[in-house]
Amino acid sequence: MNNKAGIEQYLYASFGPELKFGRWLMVSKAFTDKLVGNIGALLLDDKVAIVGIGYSGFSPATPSQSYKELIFDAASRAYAECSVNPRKDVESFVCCEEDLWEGTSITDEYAPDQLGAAQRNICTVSQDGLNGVATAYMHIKSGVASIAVVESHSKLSNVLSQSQVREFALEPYYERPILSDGIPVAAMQMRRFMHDYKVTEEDIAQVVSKNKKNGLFNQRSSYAADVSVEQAMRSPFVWNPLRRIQMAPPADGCVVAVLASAEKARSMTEQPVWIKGIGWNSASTSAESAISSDALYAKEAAKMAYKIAGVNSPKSYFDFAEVDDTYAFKELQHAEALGIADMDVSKGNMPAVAPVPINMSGGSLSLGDLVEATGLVRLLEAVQRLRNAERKRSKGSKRALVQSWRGIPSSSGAVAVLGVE
Amino acid sequence: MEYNPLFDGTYHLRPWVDSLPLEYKYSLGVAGKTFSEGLRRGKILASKCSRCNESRIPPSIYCVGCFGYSDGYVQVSETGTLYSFASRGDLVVAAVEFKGVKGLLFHRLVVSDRNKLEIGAPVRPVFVQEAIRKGDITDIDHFELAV
Repeated sequence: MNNKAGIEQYLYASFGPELKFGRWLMVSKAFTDKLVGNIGALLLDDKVAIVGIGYSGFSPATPSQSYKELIFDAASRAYAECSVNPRKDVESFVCCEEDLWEGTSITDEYAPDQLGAAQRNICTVSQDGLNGVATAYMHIKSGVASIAVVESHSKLSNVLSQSQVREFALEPYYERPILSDGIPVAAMQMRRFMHDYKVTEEDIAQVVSKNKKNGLFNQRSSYAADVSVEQAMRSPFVWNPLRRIQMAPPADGCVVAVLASAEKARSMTEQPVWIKGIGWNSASTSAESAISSDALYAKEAAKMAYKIAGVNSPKSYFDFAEVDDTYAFKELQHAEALGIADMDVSKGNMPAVAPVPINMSGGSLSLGDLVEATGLVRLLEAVQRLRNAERKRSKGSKRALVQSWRGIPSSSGAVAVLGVE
Repeated sequence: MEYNPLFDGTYHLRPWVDSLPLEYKYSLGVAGKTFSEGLRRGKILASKCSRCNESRIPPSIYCVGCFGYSDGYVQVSETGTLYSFASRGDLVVAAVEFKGVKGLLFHRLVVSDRNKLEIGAPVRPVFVQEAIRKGDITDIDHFELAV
Protein backbone atom coordinates (compact mmCIF):
# COMPACT_ATOMS: atom_id res chain seq x y z
CA MET A 1 0.00 0.00 0.00
CA ASN A 2 1.43 3.38 -0.90
CA ASN A 3 1.54 6.29 1.48
CA LYS A 4 -1.18 8.38 -0.10
CA ALA A 5 -3.75 5.61 0.02
CA GLY A 6 -2.78 4.96 3.61
CA ILE A 7 -3.34 8.57 4.60
CA GLU A 8 -6.70 8.64 2.85
CA GLN A 9 -7.79 5.49 4.62
CA TYR A 10 -6.75 6.99 7.93
CA LEU A 11 -8.60 10.22 7.23
CA TYR A 12 -11.74 8.37 6.15
CA ALA A 13 -11.62 6.25 9.29
CA SER A 14 -11.25 9.38 11.43
CA PHE A 15 -13.76 11.68 9.80
CA GLY A 16 -16.07 9.30 8.01
CA PRO A 17 -18.41 10.43 5.24
CA GLU A 18 -18.05 14.16 6.05
CA LEU A 19 -14.65 14.06 4.41
CA LYS A 20 -16.09 12.66 1.22
CA PHE A 21 -18.78 15.31 1.19
CA GLY A 22 -16.22 17.99 2.00
CA ARG A 23 -14.06 16.91 -0.89
CA TRP A 24 -17.01 16.95 -3.24
CA LEU A 25 -17.79 20.46 -2.07
CA MET A 26 -14.21 21.53 -2.71
CA VAL A 27 -14.20 20.02 -6.18
CA SER A 28 -17.51 21.58 -7.09
CA LYS A 29 -16.39 24.95 -5.73
CA ALA A 30 -13.28 24.84 -7.91
CA PHE A 31 -15.48 23.98 -10.88
CA THR A 32 -18.01 26.74 -10.31
CA ASP A 33 -15.21 29.26 -9.64
CA LYS A 34 -13.70 28.43 -12.99
CA LEU A 35 -17.05 28.61 -14.72
CA VAL A 36 -17.89 31.97 -13.15
CA GLY A 37 -14.37 33.18 -13.97
CA ASN A 38 -14.70 32.20 -17.64
CA ILE A 39 -18.13 33.77 -18.04
CA GLY A 40 -16.86 36.83 -16.21
CA ALA A 41 -13.90 37.10 -18.58
CA LEU A 42 -16.25 36.85 -21.56
CA LEU A 43 -18.55 39.53 -20.20
CA LEU A 44 -15.80 41.83 -18.97
CA ASP A 45 -13.49 41.38 -21.98
CA ASP A 46 -10.36 42.29 -20.03
CA LYS A 47 -8.03 42.13 -23.01
CA VAL A 48 -5.27 44.69 -23.58
CA ALA A 49 -4.43 46.11 -27.01
CA ILE A 50 -1.73 48.20 -28.61
CA VAL A 51 -3.71 51.01 -30.23
CA GLY A 52 -0.96 53.39 -31.27
CA ILE A 53 2.76 53.23 -31.90
CA GLY A 54 5.12 55.98 -32.97
CA TYR A 55 8.84 56.27 -33.53
CA SER A 56 11.62 58.70 -34.32
CA GLY A 57 15.31 58.51 -35.10
CA PHE A 58 16.48 55.09 -36.31
CA SER A 59 19.79 56.48 -37.41
CA PRO A 60 23.43 55.90 -36.37
CA ALA A 61 23.38 59.48 -35.05
CA THR A 62 20.75 62.16 -34.48
CA PRO A 63 22.86 65.30 -33.88
CA SER A 64 20.07 67.73 -34.69
CA GLN A 65 17.77 66.55 -31.91
CA SER A 66 18.08 66.22 -28.16
CA TYR A 67 16.83 62.96 -26.64
CA LYS A 68 13.82 64.88 -25.33
CA GLU A 69 12.97 66.04 -28.86
CA LEU A 70 13.29 62.45 -30.11
CA ILE A 71 10.77 61.39 -27.45
CA PHE A 72 8.42 64.30 -28.26
CA ASP A 73 8.50 63.30 -31.95
CA ALA A 74 7.76 59.63 -31.34
CA ALA A 75 5.09 60.37 -28.72
CA SER A 76 3.30 62.90 -30.96
CA ARG A 77 3.07 60.29 -33.72
CA ALA A 78 1.83 57.57 -31.36
CA TYR A 79 -0.84 59.85 -29.87
CA ALA A 80 -1.96 61.11 -33.31
CA GLU A 81 -2.40 57.54 -34.53
CA CYS A 82 -5.05 56.77 -31.91
CA SER A 83 -6.34 60.33 -31.25
CA VAL A 84 -5.20 60.42 -27.65
CA ASN A 85 -4.64 63.54 -25.60
CA PRO A 86 -1.86 62.64 -23.16
CA ARG A 87 -2.76 65.53 -20.85
CA LYS A 88 -6.25 64.11 -20.29
CA ASP A 89 -6.73 60.55 -21.52
CA VAL A 90 -3.62 58.66 -20.48
CA GLU A 91 -3.77 57.29 -16.94
CA SER A 92 -0.35 55.68 -16.71
CA PHE A 93 3.02 56.43 -18.33
CA VAL A 94 5.90 53.95 -18.17
CA CYS A 95 9.43 54.95 -19.22
CA CYS A 96 12.25 52.46 -19.67
CA GLU A 97 15.67 54.00 -19.33
CA GLU A 98 19.03 53.54 -17.67
CA ASP A 99 20.97 56.32 -15.93
CA LEU A 100 24.36 55.47 -17.43
CA TRP A 101 23.11 55.41 -21.02
CA GLU A 102 21.40 58.77 -20.39
CA GLY A 103 24.33 60.50 -18.75
CA THR A 104 22.23 61.70 -15.82
CA SER A 105 21.43 59.93 -12.59
CA ILE A 106 17.81 59.76 -11.38
CA THR A 107 17.07 60.12 -15.07
CA ASP A 108 13.37 59.35 -14.60
CA GLU A 109 13.00 62.87 -13.21
CA TYR A 110 13.66 64.11 -16.76
CA ALA A 111 11.06 61.82 -18.33
CA PRO A 112 7.59 63.40 -17.94
CA ASP A 113 7.50 66.69 -19.89
CA GLN A 114 8.32 65.55 -23.44
CA LEU A 115 5.74 62.74 -23.13
CA GLY A 116 2.90 65.00 -22.03
CA ALA A 117 3.13 63.38 -18.60
CA ALA A 118 3.92 66.34 -16.34
CA GLN A 119 2.03 66.10 -13.04
CA ARG A 120 0.56 62.77 -14.07
CA ASN A 121 1.01 59.09 -13.12
CA ILE A 122 4.43 58.10 -14.38
CA CYS A 123 6.95 55.49 -13.34
CA THR A 124 10.28 54.34 -14.72
CA VAL A 125 11.12 50.71 -15.21
CA SER A 126 14.89 50.41 -15.38
CA GLN A 127 14.67 47.57 -17.87
CA ASP A 128 14.16 46.86 -21.54
CA GLY A 129 11.06 48.47 -23.10
CA LEU A 130 9.20 45.17 -23.34
CA ASN A 131 9.29 44.92 -19.54
CA GLY A 132 7.66 48.36 -19.57
CA VAL A 133 4.91 46.92 -21.79
CA ALA A 134 4.39 44.20 -19.16
CA THR A 135 4.02 46.89 -16.48
CA ALA A 136 1.54 48.90 -18.56
CA TYR A 137 -0.35 45.67 -19.36
CA MET A 138 -0.71 45.01 -15.63
CA HIS A 139 -1.83 48.58 -14.96
CA ILE A 140 -4.67 48.07 -17.46
CA LYS A 141 -5.52 44.51 -16.36
CA SER A 142 -5.73 45.60 -12.73
CA GLY A 143 -8.01 48.52 -13.55
CA VAL A 144 -5.49 51.14 -12.40
CA ALA A 145 -5.56 52.61 -15.93
CA SER A 146 -7.56 52.10 -19.10
CA ILE A 147 -5.01 53.86 -21.35
CA ALA A 148 -1.27 53.52 -20.70
CA VAL A 149 1.82 54.70 -22.57
CA VAL A 150 5.22 53.00 -22.77
CA GLU A 151 8.35 54.87 -23.89
CA SER A 152 11.96 53.90 -24.43
CA HIS A 153 14.76 55.43 -26.46
CA SER A 154 18.42 55.26 -27.33
CA LYS A 155 20.76 58.20 -27.77
CA LEU A 156 23.88 56.06 -27.99
CA SER A 157 25.54 58.54 -30.36
CA ASN A 158 25.78 60.88 -27.35
CA VAL A 159 27.48 58.27 -25.16
CA LEU A 160 31.18 58.93 -25.66
CA SER A 161 32.14 56.24 -23.12
CA GLN A 162 30.13 53.31 -24.48
CA SER A 163 32.70 50.66 -23.65
CA GLN A 164 33.22 52.11 -20.16
CA VAL A 165 29.48 51.90 -19.49
CA ARG A 166 29.56 48.25 -20.54
CA GLU A 167 32.60 47.69 -18.31
CA PHE A 168 30.74 49.38 -15.45
CA ALA A 169 28.02 46.72 -15.75
CA LEU A 170 30.51 44.00 -14.79
CA GLU A 171 30.91 42.71 -11.24
CA PRO A 172 33.66 44.98 -9.87
CA TYR A 173 35.88 42.64 -7.82
CA TYR A 174 35.82 39.32 -9.70
CA GLU A 175 35.13 40.41 -13.27
CA ARG A 176 36.16 43.99 -14.06
CA PRO A 177 39.92 43.42 -13.82
CA ILE A 178 39.62 40.51 -16.28
CA LEU A 179 36.83 41.09 -18.79
CA SER A 180 37.71 44.48 -20.33
CA ASP A 181 34.55 46.02 -21.88
CA GLY A 182 32.39 42.95 -21.36
CA ILE A 183 32.44 41.86 -25.01
CA PRO A 184 34.42 38.70 -24.04
CA VAL A 185 31.28 37.65 -22.11
CA ALA A 186 29.35 37.53 -25.39
CA ALA A 187 32.23 35.82 -27.19
CA MET A 188 32.56 33.13 -24.51
CA GLN A 189 28.84 32.51 -24.49
CA MET A 190 28.89 32.21 -28.27
CA ARG A 191 31.68 29.61 -28.15
CA ARG A 192 29.89 27.56 -25.50
CA PHE A 193 26.58 27.77 -27.41
CA MET A 194 28.25 26.65 -30.64
CA HIS A 195 29.90 23.78 -28.76
CA ASP A 196 26.78 22.53 -26.95
CA TYR A 197 24.40 22.88 -29.90
CA LYS A 198 26.91 21.93 -32.60
CA VAL A 199 26.32 25.22 -34.38
CA THR A 200 28.85 26.08 -37.08
CA GLU A 201 30.42 29.39 -38.16
CA GLU A 202 28.36 29.10 -41.32
CA ASP A 203 25.07 28.79 -39.40
CA ILE A 204 25.81 32.09 -37.68
CA ALA A 205 26.96 33.73 -40.92
CA GLN A 206 23.60 32.71 -42.37
CA VAL A 207 21.80 34.66 -39.64
CA VAL A 208 23.94 37.71 -40.44
CA SER A 209 23.29 37.44 -44.17
CA LYS A 210 19.53 36.83 -43.72
CA ASN A 211 19.00 39.76 -41.32
CA LYS A 212 21.21 42.22 -43.21
CA LYS A 213 19.33 41.38 -46.44
CA ASN A 214 15.89 41.50 -44.77
CA GLY A 215 16.77 44.98 -43.56
CA LEU A 216 16.99 46.21 -47.16
CA PHE A 217 13.18 46.08 -47.24
CA ASN A 218 12.82 48.10 -44.04
CA GLN A 219 13.03 51.91 -44.19
CA ARG A 220 14.10 52.06 -40.55
CA SER A 221 17.27 50.01 -40.97
CA SER A 222 20.56 51.89 -40.77
CA TYR A 223 22.85 48.92 -41.25
CA ALA A 224 21.12 46.77 -43.88
CA ALA A 225 23.30 45.45 -46.68
CA ASP A 226 23.46 42.76 -49.31
CA VAL A 227 25.90 40.55 -47.39
CA SER A 228 26.61 37.00 -48.50
CA VAL A 229 27.35 34.13 -46.11
CA GLU A 230 30.95 34.01 -47.36
CA GLN A 231 31.36 37.74 -46.81
CA ALA A 232 29.97 37.46 -43.28
CA MET A 233 32.49 34.70 -42.54
CA ARG A 234 35.39 36.95 -43.56
CA SER A 235 34.53 39.75 -41.12
CA PRO A 236 37.36 40.39 -38.62
CA PHE A 237 37.21 39.05 -35.07
CA VAL A 238 36.44 41.47 -32.24
CA TRP A 239 36.98 38.71 -29.70
CA ASN A 240 37.39 35.31 -31.33
CA PRO A 241 34.90 33.66 -32.08
CA LEU A 242 32.78 36.85 -32.24
CA ARG A 243 33.12 38.78 -35.51
CA ARG A 244 32.49 42.49 -36.04
CA ILE A 245 29.59 41.90 -38.47
CA GLN A 246 27.85 39.61 -35.95
CA MET A 247 27.37 42.54 -33.54
CA ALA A 248 24.54 45.07 -33.85
CA PRO A 249 26.14 48.53 -34.23
CA PRO A 250 24.78 51.39 -32.10
CA ALA A 251 21.81 53.45 -33.29
CA ASP A 252 19.61 56.29 -31.98
CA GLY A 253 15.85 56.16 -31.87
CA CYS A 254 12.73 56.29 -29.77
CA VAL A 255 9.55 54.19 -29.72
CA VAL A 256 6.34 55.11 -27.92
CA ALA A 257 3.43 52.66 -27.65
CA VAL A 258 -0.12 53.40 -26.50
CA LEU A 259 -1.94 50.53 -24.79
CA ALA A 260 -5.65 50.43 -23.99
CA SER A 261 -8.29 48.22 -22.45
CA ALA A 262 -10.58 46.33 -24.86
CA GLU A 263 -13.44 48.70 -24.12
CA LYS A 264 -11.42 51.79 -25.08
CA ALA A 265 -9.36 50.13 -27.80
CA ARG A 266 -12.25 49.47 -30.17
CA SER A 267 -13.20 53.13 -30.31
CA MET A 268 -9.60 54.32 -30.64
CA THR A 269 -8.45 52.30 -33.63
CA GLU A 270 -9.75 50.03 -36.35
CA GLN A 271 -6.69 47.86 -36.02
CA PRO A 272 -6.03 46.93 -32.40
CA VAL A 273 -3.14 44.52 -31.90
CA TRP A 274 -3.93 42.39 -28.87
CA ILE A 275 -1.38 41.46 -26.24
CA LYS A 276 -2.43 37.86 -25.73
CA GLY A 277 0.26 37.02 -23.25
CA ILE A 278 3.36 38.53 -21.67
CA GLY A 279 6.17 37.25 -19.48
CA TRP A 280 9.53 38.25 -18.07
CA ASN A 281 12.40 36.59 -16.28
CA SER A 282 15.89 37.08 -14.88
CA ALA A 283 17.96 33.91 -14.63
CA SER A 284 20.65 34.72 -12.05
CA THR A 285 23.46 37.18 -11.44
CA SER A 286 25.95 34.35 -11.60
CA ALA A 287 28.68 34.18 -14.21
CA GLU A 288 27.55 30.80 -15.54
CA SER A 289 24.14 32.25 -16.13
CA ALA A 290 25.68 35.13 -18.14
CA ILE A 291 27.54 32.78 -20.48
CA SER A 292 25.31 29.71 -20.40
CA SER A 293 24.56 28.08 -23.73
CA ASP A 294 20.86 28.09 -22.83
CA ALA A 295 18.89 31.35 -22.68
CA LEU A 296 17.02 30.36 -19.51
CA TYR A 297 15.51 33.83 -19.11
CA ALA A 298 13.89 33.56 -22.56
CA LYS A 299 12.69 30.03 -21.87
CA GLU A 300 11.05 31.03 -18.58
CA ALA A 301 9.62 34.32 -19.89
CA ALA A 302 8.12 32.39 -22.83
CA LYS A 303 6.64 29.81 -20.49
CA MET A 304 4.87 32.61 -18.62
CA ALA A 305 3.63 34.39 -21.76
CA TYR A 306 2.55 31.15 -23.49
CA LYS A 307 0.56 30.13 -20.41
CA ILE A 308 -1.39 33.40 -20.38
CA ALA A 309 -1.96 33.26 -24.14
CA GLY A 310 -2.73 29.53 -24.22
CA VAL A 311 0.07 28.70 -26.64
CA ASN A 312 0.75 24.96 -26.64
CA SER A 313 2.91 24.45 -29.69
CA PRO A 314 4.74 27.69 -30.56
CA LYS A 315 6.11 26.26 -33.84
CA SER A 316 2.63 26.07 -35.35
CA TYR A 317 1.01 28.90 -33.36
CA PHE A 318 3.13 31.81 -34.55
CA ASP A 319 3.20 33.24 -38.07
CA PHE A 320 6.44 35.15 -37.46
CA ALA A 321 8.77 36.21 -34.67
CA GLU A 322 10.81 39.27 -33.75
CA VAL A 323 13.65 37.97 -31.61
CA ASP A 324 16.67 39.65 -30.02
CA ASP A 325 19.73 39.38 -32.29
CA THR A 326 22.07 41.92 -30.68
CA TYR A 327 24.72 39.31 -31.45
CA ALA A 328 23.95 37.03 -34.40
CA PHE A 329 24.28 33.78 -32.39
CA LYS A 330 21.69 35.13 -29.93
CA GLU A 331 18.95 34.79 -32.56
CA LEU A 332 19.58 31.04 -32.77
CA GLN A 333 19.91 30.70 -29.00
CA HIS A 334 16.70 32.64 -28.39
CA ALA A 335 14.80 30.76 -31.11
CA GLU A 336 15.73 27.51 -29.40
CA ALA A 337 14.71 28.83 -25.96
CA LEU A 338 11.36 30.08 -27.33
CA GLY A 339 10.63 26.71 -28.91
CA ILE A 340 10.31 28.06 -32.46
CA ALA A 341 13.40 26.49 -34.03
CA ASP A 342 14.07 22.99 -35.26
CA MET A 343 17.41 22.40 -33.61
CA ASP A 344 18.49 18.84 -34.11
CA VAL A 345 21.66 18.65 -32.07
CA SER A 346 22.36 15.07 -33.11
CA LYS A 347 22.51 16.12 -36.75
CA GLY A 348 24.82 18.93 -35.79
CA ASN A 349 23.20 21.65 -37.82
CA MET A 350 20.64 24.41 -37.85
CA PRO A 351 18.03 24.40 -40.58
CA ALA A 352 18.21 27.26 -43.06
CA VAL A 353 14.43 27.60 -43.03
CA ALA A 354 12.96 27.75 -39.53
CA PRO A 355 9.33 26.70 -38.91
CA VAL A 356 8.61 30.29 -37.80
CA PRO A 357 10.19 33.12 -39.88
CA ILE A 358 12.45 35.16 -37.60
CA ASN A 359 13.35 38.86 -37.86
CA MET A 360 11.88 39.63 -41.25
CA SER A 361 12.43 43.27 -40.20
CA GLY A 362 16.19 42.78 -40.36
CA GLY A 363 16.57 42.60 -36.58
CA SER A 364 19.08 44.57 -34.57
CA LEU A 365 21.79 43.54 -37.03
CA SER A 366 20.08 45.80 -39.58
CA LEU A 367 18.31 48.33 -37.38
CA GLY A 368 21.11 48.74 -34.86
CA ASP A 369 21.43 48.33 -31.12
CA LEU A 370 18.98 50.69 -29.40
CA VAL A 371 19.86 49.47 -25.87
CA GLU A 372 16.77 49.68 -23.62
CA ALA A 373 14.51 50.54 -26.57
CA THR A 374 15.37 47.30 -28.40
CA GLY A 375 12.34 45.39 -27.09
CA LEU A 376 10.03 48.20 -28.26
CA VAL A 377 11.74 48.14 -31.67
CA ARG A 378 10.92 44.43 -31.97
CA LEU A 379 7.35 45.27 -30.87
CA LEU A 380 7.08 48.10 -33.42
CA GLU A 381 8.20 45.81 -36.24
CA ALA A 382 5.72 43.11 -35.22
CA VAL A 383 2.81 45.56 -34.85
CA GLN A 384 3.50 47.15 -38.25
CA ARG A 385 3.71 43.74 -39.95
CA LEU A 386 0.48 42.50 -38.34
CA ARG A 387 -1.34 45.70 -39.36
CA ASN A 388 0.02 45.64 -42.92
CA ALA A 389 -1.04 42.02 -43.34
CA GLU A 390 -4.51 42.81 -42.08
CA ARG A 391 -4.78 45.78 -44.43
CA LYS A 392 -3.82 43.59 -47.37
CA ARG A 393 -6.16 40.89 -46.06
CA SER A 394 -3.38 38.36 -46.29
CA LYS A 395 -4.01 35.38 -44.05
CA GLY A 396 -0.34 34.73 -43.35
CA SER A 397 0.40 37.06 -40.45
CA LYS A 398 -2.02 37.05 -37.57
CA ARG A 399 0.05 35.96 -34.59
CA ALA A 400 3.47 37.23 -33.66
CA LEU A 401 6.08 36.49 -31.03
CA VAL A 402 8.21 39.32 -29.65
CA GLN A 403 11.23 38.77 -27.41
CA SER A 404 13.83 41.01 -25.80
CA TRP A 405 17.12 40.55 -23.98
CA ARG A 406 18.89 43.12 -21.87
CA GLY A 407 22.34 42.66 -23.32
CA ILE A 408 25.64 41.60 -21.76
CA PRO A 409 26.32 40.70 -19.03
CA SER A 410 22.62 40.24 -18.21
CA SER A 411 20.44 37.17 -18.26
CA SER A 412 17.14 39.04 -18.29
CA GLY A 413 14.47 39.22 -20.93
CA ALA A 414 10.79 39.51 -21.76
CA VAL A 415 8.38 37.85 -24.20
CA ALA A 416 5.07 39.04 -25.64
CA VAL A 417 2.48 37.15 -27.67
CA LEU A 418 0.61 39.41 -30.13
CA GLY A 419 -2.42 38.76 -32.29
CA VAL A 420 -4.94 40.65 -34.41
CA GLU A 421 -7.87 38.36 -33.58
CA MET B 1 21.48 92.14 -39.81
CA GLU B 2 20.63 90.46 -36.54
CA TYR B 3 21.97 86.91 -36.13
CA ASN B 4 19.22 84.38 -36.74
CA PRO B 5 20.11 80.83 -35.61
CA LEU B 6 17.56 79.33 -38.01
CA PHE B 7 19.61 80.45 -41.01
CA ASP B 8 22.83 78.94 -39.67
CA GLY B 9 22.86 75.34 -40.86
CA THR B 10 25.13 74.13 -38.07
CA TYR B 11 23.59 75.91 -35.10
CA HIS B 12 21.25 73.07 -34.11
CA LEU B 13 24.04 70.50 -34.34
CA ARG B 14 25.84 71.95 -31.37
CA PRO B 15 26.48 69.46 -28.54
CA TRP B 16 27.69 70.16 -25.02
CA VAL B 17 30.42 67.81 -23.84
CA ASP B 18 30.86 67.05 -20.15
CA SER B 19 32.54 64.45 -17.98
CA LEU B 20 32.63 63.65 -14.28
CA PRO B 21 35.16 61.44 -12.51
CA LEU B 22 33.28 58.82 -10.47
CA GLU B 23 34.87 56.72 -7.77
CA TYR B 24 33.41 53.88 -5.76
CA LYS B 25 34.41 51.61 -2.95
CA TYR B 26 32.96 48.08 -3.02
CA SER B 27 32.59 46.30 0.32
CA LEU B 28 33.53 42.67 -0.23
CA GLY B 29 31.40 41.47 2.65
CA VAL B 30 31.85 38.31 4.68
CA ALA B 31 32.10 35.86 1.79
CA GLY B 32 34.18 38.19 -0.38
CA LYS B 33 36.66 38.79 2.44
CA THR B 34 37.04 35.04 2.98
CA PHE B 35 37.70 34.56 -0.75
CA SER B 36 40.19 37.43 -0.69
CA GLU B 37 42.08 35.95 2.27
CA GLY B 38 42.11 32.58 0.50
CA LEU B 39 43.82 34.18 -2.50
CA ARG B 40 46.56 35.53 -0.23
CA ARG B 41 47.20 31.95 0.91
CA GLY B 42 47.16 30.69 -2.66
CA LYS B 43 43.76 29.06 -2.40
CA ILE B 44 40.51 29.43 -4.36
CA LEU B 45 37.58 29.10 -1.95
CA ALA B 46 33.98 28.22 -2.72
CA SER B 47 31.07 28.59 -0.30
CA LYS B 48 29.16 25.51 0.75
CA CYS B 49 25.52 25.51 1.78
CA SER B 50 24.92 23.37 4.86
CA ARG B 51 21.26 22.91 3.90
CA CYS B 52 21.45 21.60 0.33
CA ASN B 53 25.20 20.95 0.08
CA GLU B 54 25.59 23.16 -3.01
CA SER B 55 29.10 24.59 -3.40
CA ARG B 56 29.46 27.82 -5.32
CA ILE B 57 32.08 30.13 -6.69
CA PRO B 58 32.41 33.11 -6.20
CA PRO B 59 31.35 32.36 -2.62
CA SER B 60 28.27 33.94 -1.05
CA ILE B 61 26.61 33.68 2.37
CA TYR B 62 23.30 32.93 0.70
CA CYS B 63 22.68 29.80 -1.32
CA VAL B 64 21.52 30.63 -4.85
CA GLY B 65 19.82 27.24 -5.13
CA CYS B 66 17.82 26.94 -1.88
CA PHE B 67 18.23 30.41 -0.33
CA GLY B 68 19.75 28.79 2.74
CA TYR B 69 22.54 30.34 4.77
CA SER B 70 25.91 29.23 3.42
CA ASP B 71 28.35 29.34 6.30
CA GLY B 72 30.95 26.84 5.13
CA TYR B 73 33.87 27.18 2.73
CA VAL B 74 35.70 24.55 0.72
CA GLN B 75 38.85 24.78 -1.36
CA VAL B 76 38.23 23.99 -5.02
CA SER B 77 40.23 21.25 -6.76
CA GLU B 78 43.80 21.96 -7.92
CA THR B 79 42.78 21.84 -11.56
CA GLY B 80 39.62 23.10 -13.18
CA THR B 81 38.26 22.70 -16.70
CA LEU B 82 37.78 25.22 -19.46
CA TYR B 83 34.06 26.08 -19.73
CA SER B 84 34.65 28.57 -22.53
CA PHE B 85 37.18 31.12 -23.75
CA ALA B 86 37.62 34.10 -26.06
CA SER B 87 40.75 35.59 -27.53
CA ARG B 88 42.03 38.84 -28.99
CA GLY B 89 45.57 38.82 -30.27
CA ASP B 90 47.77 37.26 -27.58
CA LEU B 91 45.18 37.77 -24.88
CA VAL B 92 42.97 34.82 -23.96
CA VAL B 93 40.13 35.22 -21.46
CA ALA B 94 38.66 32.07 -19.98
CA ALA B 95 35.76 30.87 -17.86
CA VAL B 96 36.94 28.07 -15.56
CA GLU B 97 34.70 25.56 -13.79
CA PHE B 98 35.69 23.29 -10.91
CA LYS B 99 34.43 19.78 -10.22
CA GLY B 100 31.49 19.64 -7.83
CA VAL B 101 31.28 23.43 -7.65
CA LYS B 102 28.61 25.57 -9.30
CA GLY B 103 29.60 28.86 -10.86
CA LEU B 104 32.58 29.99 -12.90
CA LEU B 105 35.72 32.01 -12.43
CA PHE B 106 36.86 34.36 -15.20
CA HIS B 107 40.57 34.85 -15.72
CA ARG B 108 43.37 35.26 -18.22
CA LEU B 109 44.74 32.12 -19.82
CA VAL B 110 48.35 31.80 -20.96
CA VAL B 111 49.01 29.06 -23.51
CA SER B 112 52.00 28.34 -25.68
CA ASP B 113 50.14 26.14 -28.14
CA ARG B 114 46.75 27.55 -29.22
CA ASN B 115 45.85 24.24 -30.86
CA LYS B 116 45.53 22.60 -27.45
CA LEU B 117 42.91 25.15 -26.46
CA GLU B 118 39.48 23.53 -26.34
CA ILE B 119 36.37 23.46 -24.17
CA GLY B 120 36.84 20.89 -21.39
CA ALA B 121 40.66 21.19 -21.31
CA PRO B 122 42.15 20.94 -17.78
CA VAL B 123 43.57 24.23 -16.45
CA ARG B 124 45.25 25.31 -13.21
CA PRO B 125 45.87 28.69 -11.58
CA VAL B 126 49.32 30.26 -11.39
CA PHE B 127 49.57 32.58 -8.39
CA VAL B 128 51.92 35.56 -8.11
CA GLN B 129 54.65 35.42 -5.44
CA GLU B 130 53.21 35.36 -1.92
CA ALA B 131 55.02 38.57 -0.90
CA ILE B 132 53.20 40.68 -3.47
CA ARG B 133 49.68 39.21 -3.09
CA LYS B 134 47.02 41.73 -2.11
CA GLY B 135 43.89 39.63 -1.87
CA ASP B 136 42.75 40.73 -5.32
CA ILE B 137 41.64 38.51 -8.19
CA THR B 138 44.94 39.43 -9.85
CA ASP B 139 46.77 37.47 -7.09
CA ILE B 140 46.14 34.74 -9.61
CA ASP B 141 48.48 35.84 -12.38
CA HIS B 142 46.80 33.61 -14.95
CA PHE B 143 45.57 30.08 -15.63
CA GLU B 144 47.58 27.61 -17.68
CA LEU B 145 46.80 24.32 -19.37
CA ALA B 146 47.37 21.40 -16.99
CA VAL B 147 48.38 18.83 -19.59
